[in-house]
Amino acid sequence: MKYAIVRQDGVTEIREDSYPLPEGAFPLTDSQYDELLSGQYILQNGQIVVNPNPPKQL
Amino acid sequence: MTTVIGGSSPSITFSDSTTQSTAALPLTGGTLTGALTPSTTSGIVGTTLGDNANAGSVGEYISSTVAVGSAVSLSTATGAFTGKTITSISLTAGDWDIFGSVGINNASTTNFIAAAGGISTTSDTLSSSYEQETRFSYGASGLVLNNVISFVVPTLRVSISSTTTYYLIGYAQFTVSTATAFGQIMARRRR
Repeated sequence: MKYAIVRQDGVTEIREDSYPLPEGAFPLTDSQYDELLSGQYILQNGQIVVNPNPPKQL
Repeated sequence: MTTVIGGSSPSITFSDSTTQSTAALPLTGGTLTGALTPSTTSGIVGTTLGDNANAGSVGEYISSTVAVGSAVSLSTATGAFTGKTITSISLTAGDWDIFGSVGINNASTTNFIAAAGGISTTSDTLSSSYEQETRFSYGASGLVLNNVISFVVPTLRVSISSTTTYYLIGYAQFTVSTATAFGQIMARRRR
């Protein structure tokens, strides 16, 4: 299962494993997972939104 | 051919003419105490369904990623700085391969002396072995980069008998401005 979880320090982890969804985690579709991995999107208040500070492009 | 188990009454008899009952259940559970030798060419057939191995089964996969958009801050390095945990995974008992990548992001004026990354069993601490980390040194005067750097870290094989946490560690030594670290740690249960 793919999911995102926000740590106590505010950092969002994008995770995948075969265990039950942890408490407080946000299940992700494949496309949502890829969006978050790209860095072009971030998880904010439980919603996937455009990253206002996206990584620099070559 | 007829095979008789026992030899005296009562005994169990199997023969080539024995047919499987339509009500028979598939073989499941139990422990095979001898070696399992599949065909050398067919081997063990893998999945084609895009699914995932169960937790505890060979092939189980675990990953955790902190993307560049949520990178962790690195301290301005001093001699005491040993690295910063980017993310971690918890592995149950088994024989695993762990692999990953680390990225270091910079501000426009960040002057890097060194950058490194690796997998460790201690949070905020690079492995003490150079062979178990990826490291770049940029010289005493440092180097200002115009974009992120990212690199793979050495694959680690572990055979563990109890649940253990593995940390993805990022490290940078720099003299100006700020730096952050991001990356991905992944593990595959091999047996």
